[in-house]
Amino acid sequence: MHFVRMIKRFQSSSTINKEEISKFASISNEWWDPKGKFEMLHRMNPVRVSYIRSILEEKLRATSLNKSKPFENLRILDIGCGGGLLSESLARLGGSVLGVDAGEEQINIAKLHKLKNKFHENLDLNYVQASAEQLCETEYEKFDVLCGLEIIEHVDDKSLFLKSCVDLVKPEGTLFFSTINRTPSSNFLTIFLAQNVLNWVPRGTHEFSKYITPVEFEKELNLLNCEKIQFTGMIFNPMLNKWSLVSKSDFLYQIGSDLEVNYILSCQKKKQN
Amino acid sequence: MHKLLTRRLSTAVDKTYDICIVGAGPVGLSLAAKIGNSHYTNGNKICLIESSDVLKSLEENDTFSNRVVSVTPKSRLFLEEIGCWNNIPEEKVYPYNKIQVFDSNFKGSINFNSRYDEETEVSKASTAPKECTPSSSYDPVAYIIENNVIRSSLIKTLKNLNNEIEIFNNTKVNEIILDKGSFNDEWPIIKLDSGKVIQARLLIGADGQNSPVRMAANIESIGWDYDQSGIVGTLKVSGCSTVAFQRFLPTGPIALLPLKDKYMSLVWTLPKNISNLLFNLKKLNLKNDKMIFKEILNTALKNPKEDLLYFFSELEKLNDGKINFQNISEADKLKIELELNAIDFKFEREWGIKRLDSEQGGISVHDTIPVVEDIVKNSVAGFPLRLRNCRTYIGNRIALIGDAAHSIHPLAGQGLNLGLADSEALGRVLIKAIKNGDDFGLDYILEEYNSERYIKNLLMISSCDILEKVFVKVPSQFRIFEDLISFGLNSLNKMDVLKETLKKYAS
Ligand SMILES: Cc1cc2nc3c(=O)[nH]c(=O)nc-3n(C[C@H](O)[C@H](O)[C@H](O)COP(=O)(O)OP(=O)(O)OC[C@H]3O[C@@H](n4cnc5c(N)ncnc54)[C@H](O)[C@@H]3O)c2cc1C
Repeated sequence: MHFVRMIKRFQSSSTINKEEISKFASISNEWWDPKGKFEMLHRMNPVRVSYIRSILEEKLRATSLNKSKPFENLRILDIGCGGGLLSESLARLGGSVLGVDAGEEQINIAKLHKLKNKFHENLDLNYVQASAEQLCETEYEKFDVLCGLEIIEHVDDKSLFLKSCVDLVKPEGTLFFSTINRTPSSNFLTIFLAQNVLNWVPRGTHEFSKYITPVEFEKELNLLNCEKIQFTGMIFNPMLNKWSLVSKSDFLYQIGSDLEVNYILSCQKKKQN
Repeated sequence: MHKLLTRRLSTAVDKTYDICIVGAGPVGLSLAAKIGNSHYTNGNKICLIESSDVLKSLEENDTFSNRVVSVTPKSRLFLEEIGCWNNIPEEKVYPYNKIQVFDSNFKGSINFNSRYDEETEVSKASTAPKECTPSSSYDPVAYIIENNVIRSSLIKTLKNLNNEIEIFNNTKVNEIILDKGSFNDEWPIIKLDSGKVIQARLLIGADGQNSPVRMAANIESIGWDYDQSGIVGTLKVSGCSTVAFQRFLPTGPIALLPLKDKYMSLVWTLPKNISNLLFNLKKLNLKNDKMIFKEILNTALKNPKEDLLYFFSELEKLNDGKINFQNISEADKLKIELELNAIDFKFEREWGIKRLDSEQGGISVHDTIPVVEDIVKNSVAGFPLRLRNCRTYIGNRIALIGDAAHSIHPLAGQGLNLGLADSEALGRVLIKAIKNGDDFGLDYILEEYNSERYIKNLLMISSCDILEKVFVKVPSQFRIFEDLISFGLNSLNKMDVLKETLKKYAS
């Protein structure tokens, strides 16, 4: 509670665009409807978690063998948590999770959902309304893992956002980001088709100019002392209504088009000198 | 938020579970074993509710129980995977390496052989009965196992899992309360007859044909009842065999599945009124009822079909609807006995066989079919036949598996195998979802199970229905059709590719 009040004192939010926040707030009561406006996100979630799990398992192979709670003893920050879709999954896998979002309504939805679920499951999960920079300024704590999924494309000052993210992570901690590439195909698929024609995601969810390419992303992360940066493509199969990661044996990978549209990445913050 | 809290408090819940399975039939048990066997599911609370007493030793009696199932190699793989196969005593598994299928005139036949048989026995006369114990060095077509043996082996498996399954034995589900809630996050509430109330993230109906879970979820079950019923039983036959037989008769297929020594299991489909009558005769405790049943059975197996039709028409005359079998007078009983005595079942049957022999010039293919010598006491049971498939196998926080989701004409003996395949698929989908930290009760997660199984089951269900229509429903006056069936079976027998496909399909 103390922490929350502290956060509330901050007025300025530099990286988060006000318009962007209210865009989600107006539809956030649909966050937890798997058939609602966030259906795509619901369907994407298992794929994102399986990616995070495989990267962390690789890293923690020696220390953690608990298959049902692989994230036990990990302090995880979910930045841009929205209604808490990812946060809940991470907590269910044993993580101690803090979900953070700049939108008040999103945080309320996430809290409400958690409260309702408290009847059933006791997750180590908390939510706070803040932006990445605000969190940074509080110097509250450092995390083992940070997830910023499907958020950077809504952020104005990407460098500042990423710097704050890296600051929030312990040395040798792991960061995950996922977003959309800025290519003609992503423009066609995610804006023209998904948004304007098929209404898979609400109109105005994405703006093409805010997309970031893997090359730009990698450059930023290198400047911020991150290493082991690796990218994986994510594709949606409309026939199966299913997301999947692009594997090395996939055609898209072999022709070098695996990161054309959606991608997820992981990297590690370097050990301090 | 107030409303939310009060609604929940109005039904006091004693305990919550992640997965609640209703029905500890073979299908429900196998799903519990599959999920409980995985390392990924530790910490998930799982319970199984069964209204009968499944924990009492199911295999105590030494004679064969009347319900046996034919387990395909694919189902065996699944039972191996969940650690159950090894718990099935070896002497309780009866593999068979061949199915011989005949039409009603013995003109056409088709053999489904195991791979071993195909390679080594081509030259051998396929008619000679095999030795009793088939060697285990090849893949059999399928294994005959008693339903109870499978169940008790699964129970044994459940006791040794790394993830404990809580079993509510002798406990009936009385009421199910479903309420989607504003976020699809209200969990089903299950009221037990013990007074206990539990709640589960996912409620699985493995509760058989009249599934209470399906009814609570208001999932429509589409299908029809056949004008036929099934009779099952255990028979003692002449000579022993490791071959399964099936004969398509105009009145319905009859099948013998090999058990141990001289025992075989019977699955017989016949018109409802005839099977009712046969059962009622049994209840009357007539002097001859056992003999009559045996003679009719042997006629169905080995005689020209006209002989069977003759018996059936004579029996139908008895059952003209005027006799109340439940409360029969001594006079009526005597009358029935007299009328039955007027038919010499044994003579008619033997005469029919002679006729067949002379027509076909002595030894014929149907000589391989064994003769029934005795019927094991209390082993005969009847059941209605129906075809059902649900509109969907899933709902919000609901999934249906096994007979709760579909029931099938038993002529292919595939009911349990389809159920086990459901259980394998749902188990796999759930374990994957648990691995990803998903709220696996949501229907978009369950959808993967539904789409994987729905089409496959529908194909199997409808092909059995088509088989039934082609072989059973064809009116006998259209001989041409029967010739076509014979032709079909014979040419099918030659078309290896097609047969291989059919066999794959059947497994
Ligand atoms: C005579 C006969 C012969 C067959 N032969 C074959 C064959 O040769 N090969 C084959 O593959 N299949 C065969 N089948 C089909 C096969 O037996 C079924 O497909 C199989 O048993 C289905 O298993 P299940 O677990 O889905 O359902 P069931 O075995 O019907 O189990 C359902 C369970 O749910 C329990 N239950 C129901 N309601 C409640 C409640 N309210 N509360 C608590 N518990 C409840 C019941 O007590 C029961 O134990 C045959 C079926 C019959 C009837």
